[in-house]
Amino acid sequence: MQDLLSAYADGELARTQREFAERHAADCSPCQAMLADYKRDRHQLASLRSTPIPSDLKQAAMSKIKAAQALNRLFPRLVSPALVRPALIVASVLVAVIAIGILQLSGAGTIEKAEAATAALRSYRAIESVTVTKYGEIFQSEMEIEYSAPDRFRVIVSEPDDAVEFIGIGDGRYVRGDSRKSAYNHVRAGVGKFLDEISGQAKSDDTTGLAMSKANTLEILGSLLDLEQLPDDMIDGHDTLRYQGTIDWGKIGRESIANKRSKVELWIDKVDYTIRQAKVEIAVLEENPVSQAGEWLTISSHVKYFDLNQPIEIKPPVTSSGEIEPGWSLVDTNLSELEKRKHDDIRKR
Amino acid sequence: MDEAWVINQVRTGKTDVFGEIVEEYQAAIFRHVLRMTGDLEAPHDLTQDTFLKAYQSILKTDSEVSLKAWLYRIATNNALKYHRRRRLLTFVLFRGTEKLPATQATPNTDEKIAIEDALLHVPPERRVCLALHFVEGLRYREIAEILGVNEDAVRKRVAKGREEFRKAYDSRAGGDTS
Repeated sequence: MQDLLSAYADGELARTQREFAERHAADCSPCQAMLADYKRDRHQLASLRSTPIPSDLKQAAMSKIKAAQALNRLFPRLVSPALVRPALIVASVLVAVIAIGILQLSGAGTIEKAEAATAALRSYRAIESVTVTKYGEIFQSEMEIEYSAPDRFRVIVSEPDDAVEFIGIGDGRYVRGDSRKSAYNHVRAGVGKFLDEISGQAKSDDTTGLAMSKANTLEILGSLLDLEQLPDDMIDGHDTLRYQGTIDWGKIGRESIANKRSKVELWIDKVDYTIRQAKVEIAVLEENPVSQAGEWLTISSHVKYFDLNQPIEIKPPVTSSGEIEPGWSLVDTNLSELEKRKHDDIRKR
Repeated sequence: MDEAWVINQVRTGKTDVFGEIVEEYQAAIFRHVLRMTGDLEAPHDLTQDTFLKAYQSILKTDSEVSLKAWLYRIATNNALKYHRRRRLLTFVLFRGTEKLPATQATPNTDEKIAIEDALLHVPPERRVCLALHFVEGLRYREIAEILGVNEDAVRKRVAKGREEFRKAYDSRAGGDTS
């Protein structure tokens, strides 16, 4: 009856059904109350119609079409790299974030110590190589990451033909890249947000100096499956304990576990229990937009951490007179008051 | 706009004419992607990609197409793919990072945020129906065509989706008394 009444309220019933619903509702007060609710839904949702749109949208769309057309003429088999690159960068950051999160993991005994050591970290450098396989194509990128508590980071994402650099100082976000416009868009569309999330977390009271809070670390820890210890290993002159496991996606993400696979390897320093190296492999089943068949998107990452707790200076790219250095631009990722409230609201839940 | 004429022109290589299609549908597609992703920046790119894909599809086929349905279908797929990716990332961060679009500061901004927020609590497969029907004003049969399902399925999704929407809206309003 509810489906019928909902469709009736929307004027979506054929005559016979409409008349039936009408007659029924006339004598049914719960249905009348429901119809009043439906009217309110309609009114509220229709109010979203007045959303303003960016003034440069048409121009941007036409530029993209013409660029793709030009590329297709030059390389008929090539899909616009502009469409591929953001995915790669987002994937890289995803893996970095996971890896950093996993940096705080441990396994009974050793693992608690590793967690404590990680929680005490004030700075680190990391180098990560990421390989993404998507629809039969392979993309590679290298990332250099620097972090200094509480809220400074620097990330350079290098690909075979391009490099983009980000610096975050407090609320300030700077970007420099060979393809500035493109990089800028990436920052706005994805990377910036994650970096914001990282620094946002780092600024919280529960700061760990890394991507995630202690509470989140414990949550990850509780989600590890099939943890097993492998033979000890030597990493950059440090004796390490080696562990391997998988992530219980369903437990953490409340998403279907059917379309994801993972493998995690950790190298934990035997002396100070910091993480020296991590390898993460993730596979996600996605629909290929061309063939519409399910294909595995794979992301594999190899991260090495060094200069742990060493002084790392991260400066804004600003001259002594306060001007932004050539090649850099300031990205406006500051949240408006309204958005801040919204974020606070979400956090409280 | 005479869509059939525009499509013919595009097929003869007059790319600029496609601008008329963009002009006609950009607001609707942008809004739709915004609703589906709940994201501030992504719709700009996703809308461009939608038009790019539509343009490429027009060149690849010579069949008669319902442009509107086609654009919404591409936009929905783009948004859902983006959404999935974001969900994955959100998971990694263990936080609800759904970010609301910044609306202009108007007296009813709070109300709009509450509505946007409640809509984002509706799962995507039903949110798409609510957005297309209530915000974009499409009929159930048009939505069915876009999503490739039957009208009855749309009816059920709208009915269930609006319940979820209202529950989310009321619980927010109930907890937000400041």
